[in-house]
Amino acid sequence: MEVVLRAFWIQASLNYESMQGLGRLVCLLPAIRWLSLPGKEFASFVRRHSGLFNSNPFIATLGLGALARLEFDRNANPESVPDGMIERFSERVSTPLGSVGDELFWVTLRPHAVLLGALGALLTGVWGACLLLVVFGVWQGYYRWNCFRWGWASGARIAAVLQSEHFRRPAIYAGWIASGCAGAAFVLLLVKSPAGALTSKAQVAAFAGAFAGACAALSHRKPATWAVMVAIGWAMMVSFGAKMLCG
Amino acid sequence: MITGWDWVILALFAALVAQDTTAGPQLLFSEPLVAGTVAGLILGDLRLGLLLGTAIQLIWCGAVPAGTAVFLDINVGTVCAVAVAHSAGDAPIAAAASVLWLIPVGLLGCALTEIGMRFCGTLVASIRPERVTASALVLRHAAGWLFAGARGSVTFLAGAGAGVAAVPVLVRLLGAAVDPGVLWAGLFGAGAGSAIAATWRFSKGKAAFLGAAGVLGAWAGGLLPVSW
Repeated sequence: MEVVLRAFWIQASLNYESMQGLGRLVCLLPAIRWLSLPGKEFASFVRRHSGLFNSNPFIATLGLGALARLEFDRNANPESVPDGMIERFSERVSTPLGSVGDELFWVTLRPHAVLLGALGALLTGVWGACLLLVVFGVWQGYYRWNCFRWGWASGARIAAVLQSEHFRRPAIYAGWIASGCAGAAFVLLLVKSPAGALTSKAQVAAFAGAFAGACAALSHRKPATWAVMVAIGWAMMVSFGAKMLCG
Repeated sequence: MITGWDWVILALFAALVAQDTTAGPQLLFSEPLVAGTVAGLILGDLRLGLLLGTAIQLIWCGAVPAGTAVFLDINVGTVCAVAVAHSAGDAPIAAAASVLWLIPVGLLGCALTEIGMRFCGTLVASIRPERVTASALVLRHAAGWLFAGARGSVTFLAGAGAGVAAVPVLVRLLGAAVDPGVLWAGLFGAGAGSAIAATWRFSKGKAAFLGAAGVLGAWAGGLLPVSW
């Protein structure tokens, strides 16, 4: 339980050299407390875990569970975990934990929670912010806790967990919900945005142009800052045109 | 008008927002929607916080602080934008100008994040496994978290301090060139486009998107108060 709680801060000392290396070490400290390692063994533990560790923070507990299990097995039977295996495992597991986790959380679950929250804000105001926190809190609580359990149960064989159906399925549902929310938000913004409904042709033209500009910019992998610039530039042109037309 | 206490509370809140963004606990209270709402609440202007939070959230909903990727620190930028818009008098054009001001503030936050990562690198490099204790490891780790907080406060104070002077100029320039209603329609249009682009490309939910948009569109068909 303490490992999972500490994992909320695994990125506190994120750096270019070892990424979450120190965070992983700090998270594993409660796990090795059971083993009560003597001074020399503790130094060797620090050496084993001071290399690179790079995971998505929300599923890092999968790697931590597996590493805790390997340490436990090594202490019980040193021959079952040969020298160098833990270091190699840490390095090799980094890429899949990072890429699968980023795809799951940053690409699917976060947009899903954020868009549900934004939709809630458009409909109910302040409750949208609460909705975002609750929805994402439930997702990350589910993954952080279960990933540690799965990691502990699988040990070095965590690749099977990353490929399993129960690990990936929530992302599919979340993707559907996120897309539904984006569609609903689009319509709601037309009808009732927090800045007021679109009540003139110039406003509709500004909305449509900025919408098309943002879609084009982001689908060409430009940052959202471009979308803001396009929106403001387009709004200026529309305002100028409206003034000219009205005389 | 922002009082001295407001500055202090907002700077502390910006520290928490910066920590939640990159260092922990990553509960997402740093997302613009939540951070903007709370900043509005602190300043006693919930409506402004919610307006800016929703707009910024939608526009930047695809931007994530993942790994070592360079990202605009929009979360602390949102707190800054709410403070600057509030001090500029809460006119719609001031709120829109503060969304623009968020961009240089976000860049400052990004540069300080990089400095923070280098600082943490030196902390990690100083570890000597033969001599280090468990509490020394925890202290080094906590120092990284505290640095993230300091980064948030510094970004906020520098960004909002400069913004109080710069945004009124932006307001005058924008106010002369654009109608506030049209400008906000454009910003929310960009928000809708960004939200759709962020979900459309990756997810398999195109049918859900069209279904939800279609149902709501049909419902809103008679409600759209546009006079042609």
